Amino acid sequence: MSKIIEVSQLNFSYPVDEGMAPAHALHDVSLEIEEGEFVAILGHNGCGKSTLAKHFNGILKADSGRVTVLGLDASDEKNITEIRRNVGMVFQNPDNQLIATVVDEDVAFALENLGVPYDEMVKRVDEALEMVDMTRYRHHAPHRLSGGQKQRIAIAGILAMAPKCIVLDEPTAMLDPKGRREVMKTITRLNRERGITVILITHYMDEAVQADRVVVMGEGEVILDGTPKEVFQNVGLLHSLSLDVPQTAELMFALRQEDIKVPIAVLTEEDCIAELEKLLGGVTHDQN
Amino acid sequence: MLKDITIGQYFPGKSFMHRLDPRMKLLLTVLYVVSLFLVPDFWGFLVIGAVIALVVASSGVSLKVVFRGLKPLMFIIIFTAFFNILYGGGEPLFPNISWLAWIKTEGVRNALFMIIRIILLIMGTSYLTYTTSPVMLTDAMERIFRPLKVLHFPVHELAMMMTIALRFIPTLIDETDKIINAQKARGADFETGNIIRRAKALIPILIPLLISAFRRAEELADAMECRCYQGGEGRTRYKVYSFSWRDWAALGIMLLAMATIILFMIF
Amino acid sequence: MIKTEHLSHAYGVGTPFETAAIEDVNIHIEKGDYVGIIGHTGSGKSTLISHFNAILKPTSGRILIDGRDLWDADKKTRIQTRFDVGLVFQYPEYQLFEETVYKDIAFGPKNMGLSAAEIEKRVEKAIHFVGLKPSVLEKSPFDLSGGQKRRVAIAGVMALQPKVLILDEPAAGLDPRGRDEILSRIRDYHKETKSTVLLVSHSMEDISRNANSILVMNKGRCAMHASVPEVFEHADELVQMGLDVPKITRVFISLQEKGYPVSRNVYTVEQGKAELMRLLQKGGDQNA
Repeated sequence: MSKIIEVSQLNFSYPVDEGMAPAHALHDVSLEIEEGEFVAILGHNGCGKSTLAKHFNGILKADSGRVTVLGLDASDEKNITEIRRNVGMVFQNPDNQLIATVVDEDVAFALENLGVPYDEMVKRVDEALEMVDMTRYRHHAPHRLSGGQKQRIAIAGILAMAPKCIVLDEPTAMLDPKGRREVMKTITRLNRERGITVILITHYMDEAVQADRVVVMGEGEVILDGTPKEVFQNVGLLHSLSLDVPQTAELMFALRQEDIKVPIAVLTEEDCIAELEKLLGGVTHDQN
Repeated sequence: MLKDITIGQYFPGKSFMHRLDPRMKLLLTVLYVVSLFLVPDFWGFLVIGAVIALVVASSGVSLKVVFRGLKPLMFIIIFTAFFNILYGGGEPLFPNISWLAWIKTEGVRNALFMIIRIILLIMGTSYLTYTTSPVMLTDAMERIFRPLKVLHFPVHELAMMMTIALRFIPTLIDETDKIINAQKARGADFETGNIIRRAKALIPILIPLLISAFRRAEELADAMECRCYQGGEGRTRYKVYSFSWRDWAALGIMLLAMATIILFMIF
Repeated sequence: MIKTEHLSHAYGVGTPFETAAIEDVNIHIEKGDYVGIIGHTGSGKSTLISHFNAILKPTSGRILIDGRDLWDADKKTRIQTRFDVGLVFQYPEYQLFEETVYKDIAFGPKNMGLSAAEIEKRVEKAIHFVGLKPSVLEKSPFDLSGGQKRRVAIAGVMALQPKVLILDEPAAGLDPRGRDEILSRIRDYHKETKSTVLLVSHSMEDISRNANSILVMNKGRCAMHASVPEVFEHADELVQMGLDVPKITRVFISLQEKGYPVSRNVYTVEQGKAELMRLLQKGGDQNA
């Protein structure tokens, strides 16, 4: 596998008014994203995860350090279009990223900007809408759609560019559970079936456990980096960073505090049931 | 009263008029207005009347709508008529009634002429907006005025601004509603008091709305950058317009009408 | 405290787009209760709560506040209801508008026509309830972080000292830290003021951790209204309505269905641990 994004010793801070605490800054962040990976980035608000994401496609420029995307230096202005075409970005508020008044015209926006010829454009818009399962709504006005549908249109608008990687900055934060499931289903499918690299910034643990890899950030630094099982071992540390842990891991953690030998990183319902069955093996069924 | 103004409204549909190319509709409207001002006498209005009759018949939007839209403009129409009569010359229309001596034949003729002209003008331009969505209009204008770019006129930028404004109007209307309800829940009163009090009561609505609009604009700018937006240079368009037989037919009829009016002028 | 009789509301009455948002809702909310209101998007929960402070007028049916018909009273009394029934809308931080936090929180009390001294007392109390330091009072609300803005906005309604406080998704879009902070503040407020609290949320976990009773809205009707354990008895139905039941509840339901003598009524990690410990101890005693 080749590396799609390489960040090394990245430092960044926003200009701050006098007397205000600097927030969302980054200190010496180094991170590599492999092509085809599904990476979740966790961290509380203001920890710098969105700031980091905006470096992945050159929306922000590093104060020091290097960001390389597909081998291209992100600080070089002439690489920007190529980088943005390959690393698309979806934001939290679905209303504020749709530009056109009709769905298919919105999906075409990036292609218009890239100067894609008409025939090719039509083909790519159709494909992108198909990939997010929104073909039916192609002639609708975006403001009449549900939050989950709007977010899928935003994803389609990025997919039309045929990017290698999609960065999603809390795409489900403003959605209801149904919309959240729709968006997650779309994201995981794009990763599994199309091999698109996915970087998902989220607060929801049930979303993070679906990733191949979880990166935990705190105060502008990378604190943990590993598979979900590895990362969610550290229940105490995650709590101290004010992060949630999947309820199942939380339960295991609580049991271990009573000296009951169970593994901690139990992330799915099925695994949890299996573990508890092992544990309750001694308690026979016919007790009551 | 405000909601009665139908000028500028769009009525979605699939009629002959709706299906005309918006660029052609703009051109036809310009030709229509020019013809209207070339009309030398009442006979000329018959030709324009015939054109507008065709437009109404092929638009699927009832004449009632346009008349409803005329009502709020009655004042302007009457005002124009009054001044035309006042300054018009000719023989008194009612020679036997002394206090109506200021009404003269020429004045009345001019007034009638103006009234008909204004009404036909409003009808023609109204049917343009009735059958063309604001987005299509903007698009058409961008394409028609594209040559002006040579003179550094920001055609694309203006059109993009219009498009985004149109896209965000429903969003901001929703938002206004929410803010009004939220302030009402804190006991804000928008309905009583004198004008100054009421104007002041708007502050708790306008400030949050403004702040929210800025926040949205900022986020939108990021989203547009992420989708490789770099201004109008080198852009292709997803929506292509092409003239069909309808457009040529409509243009033919309009040119015929115009030619007839020019003939009226000469003879 | 709040009672509805055959309450119905339709949007767009008299147009072809007429849709019933809520239909024939009959509920009775007890004084001092903490009620969680849950339902998927479009289930009518927002429409329902907008009736309680006369923002919306019912299409048919009645709303009784303390036994008085809301729409039978004159306009002045109805405005008064807005101070008795405080409503915090979704994303309330977007309603902030004053130069200072103090002035913004004072907006409501000022509209009530209270004396300056009383207003000051209420503002201080409200800022204490939401857990912000009095020093923020002189700051501009727009200089605060997202979570702090949210808390200022909630304080703005708490300062009305309403008998009923209704919050529509007060934790939406916040990170786990912000969410826990706000929910625990609301819990304290409920305990201290003994007022009635209604919490609208998509998160069954948040509701089960905070509320005493749950009102489930489904397709514009009140599907259930009972204590938390009673509602969780019907976990299967909740799932059918498209609601998310806490993971831990699903784990225990599966265990019970597999024949283990565990309770189905587990919806927090603490309860789960207690339940397991009870069983393990019992099992241990028998083995010994």
